[in-house]
Amino acid sequence: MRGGQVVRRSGGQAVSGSVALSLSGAEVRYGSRRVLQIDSLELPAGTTLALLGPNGSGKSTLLRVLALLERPSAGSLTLLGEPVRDGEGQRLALRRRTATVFQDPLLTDQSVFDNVAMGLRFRSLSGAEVATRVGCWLQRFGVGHLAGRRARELSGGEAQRVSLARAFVLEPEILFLDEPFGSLDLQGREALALELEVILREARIATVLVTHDRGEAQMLADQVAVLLDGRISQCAPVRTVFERPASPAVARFLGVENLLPVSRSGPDEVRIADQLIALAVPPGIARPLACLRAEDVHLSPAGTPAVPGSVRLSARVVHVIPYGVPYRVHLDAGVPLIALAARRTLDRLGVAPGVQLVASFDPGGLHLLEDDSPVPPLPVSQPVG
Amino acid sequence: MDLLFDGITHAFALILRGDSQVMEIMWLSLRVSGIATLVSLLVGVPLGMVLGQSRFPGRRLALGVINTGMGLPPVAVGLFVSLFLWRSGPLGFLDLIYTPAAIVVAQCIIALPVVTGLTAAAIQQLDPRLRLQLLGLGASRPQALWFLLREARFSIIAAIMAGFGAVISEVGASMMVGGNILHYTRVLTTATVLETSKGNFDIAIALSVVLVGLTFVVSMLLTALQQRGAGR
Repeated sequence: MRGGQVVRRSGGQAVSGSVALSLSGAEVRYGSRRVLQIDSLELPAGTTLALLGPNGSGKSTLLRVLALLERPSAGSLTLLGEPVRDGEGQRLALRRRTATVFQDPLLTDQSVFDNVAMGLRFRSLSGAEVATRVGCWLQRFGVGHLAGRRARELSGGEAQRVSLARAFVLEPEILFLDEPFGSLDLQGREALALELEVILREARIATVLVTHDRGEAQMLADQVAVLLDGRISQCAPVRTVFERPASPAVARFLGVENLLPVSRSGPDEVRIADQLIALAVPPGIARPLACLRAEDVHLSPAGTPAVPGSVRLSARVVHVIPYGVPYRVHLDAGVPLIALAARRTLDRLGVAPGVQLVASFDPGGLHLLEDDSPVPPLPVSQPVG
Repeated sequence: MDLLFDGITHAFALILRGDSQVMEIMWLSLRVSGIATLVSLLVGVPLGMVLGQSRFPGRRLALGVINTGMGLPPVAVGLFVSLFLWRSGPLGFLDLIYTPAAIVVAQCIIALPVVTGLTAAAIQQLDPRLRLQLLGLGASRPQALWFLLREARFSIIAAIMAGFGAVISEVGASMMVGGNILHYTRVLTTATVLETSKGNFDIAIALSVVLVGLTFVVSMLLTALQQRGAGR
């Protein structure tokens, strides 16, 4: 606690409308390998930011840097209005205004009560206050009846609830959650995510959530930062990221099934397969690709006339993949196209490989972005004579 | 058979009577090995924690040396400690050779690698993310270290038992640096060897029984400590 007084704002809460956390020019290197490079990242107070990315994209490393659990090789970090310095005293003082939850519950071999009390005891709170707060948060996460149990006797779901209670009991000003449902099965995941959503919305704690699950990010986050290969590929409000991915890589990671090649055929007209579509290519896009969600592709029997305002492509079924409740239908419509359809629809249309269908979609659902793949080399013409 | 039977009956008579010579030797053994274990605990547990959880150049070499040390022959330790402590040796001015303190020094060298090596292994067995989790809940570094130690307590107490077991049972080092001097540096193991060679099997057996009993009692105490709060 040496090295300067901790500046507490009125009521101990960060002023709303301000920034809970900001990072700039950060870099993490392990040996010669650069695992993280973040130009800038901000977390507005009282909001939730999801760090979304595939395994190995550096999102957990970024979380550890933000939570002061790892020192970046370069960069500057401001937490709760204080520029973070090198001294352990200040880092500890700041860490004590935050709390971190990891994927695995990582409970110590003590009672549930003692586990949840741990952080409060690190902060030397009185026994009476510890008891009140622990009791309250155990109840809140529905594990009040387990207080006296040994932590290692808990089921996975119970342990994760205890682990979350252990962080919330600290009433942190910033909460860091690293795949907090990662150790649970699908059902437990959804139930706990729903509860957490309610608690986060009520508590309005600035939160950084690391996840590889798009649904979790959609459910819990206000902003999403998509991390690919140690860099933030896009950081925007959650709807923007899902509806308007910034690059083909982001679109693919977010599960956009169709990235269709588009050619310009006029100032306000583009062509997809053999169809002309009235659509202006935004300025700055040289080689447009169209994102189209598979659920936006509608299947109907061959010969169905075009509906005004929708794009109609004749398509041949290539194969059908059962994928969760809807089936994924891979089509050849001049361009490869994927549609989602319920089993009943497939039966009605007699969908099987080789069958001709009509695939239609609303051009309003298209989002154009720049094709950043390398330009294919021009075919070398044979020298004549 | 008679020899064995007589030996055992006489031995128990000596023990039950609280024979002063046997008690004196037992007390010295307990004191010397107890102090040696305590010292290796105070040095070895922190050292083992550092080796177990930090990464630095030369760490592997250090662990290799420690692990070799776990199998150090007491006779070799005795020889080297003697060489240092002899009047003409580099530490001769300390006047420690043939004193209980010399035995403590030799036994520390035997127990330290055992305690250090097993502590390092115990700490390495913990989830490496546990330390981050503790820090992430606001633990200071010493607080985090204390909790890690607590989590590894079963293995660390086992390490202490192994250290104590190694020194209470060794004879070579005690003999060489202590000299097996009656009423001064004679411990249970050296006395047993001497009495056996003199043909006093009853006393030798009594001493061995005391030695095993002592090890048992100390181990039970440590086990009780280890299993406290372990649940079912």
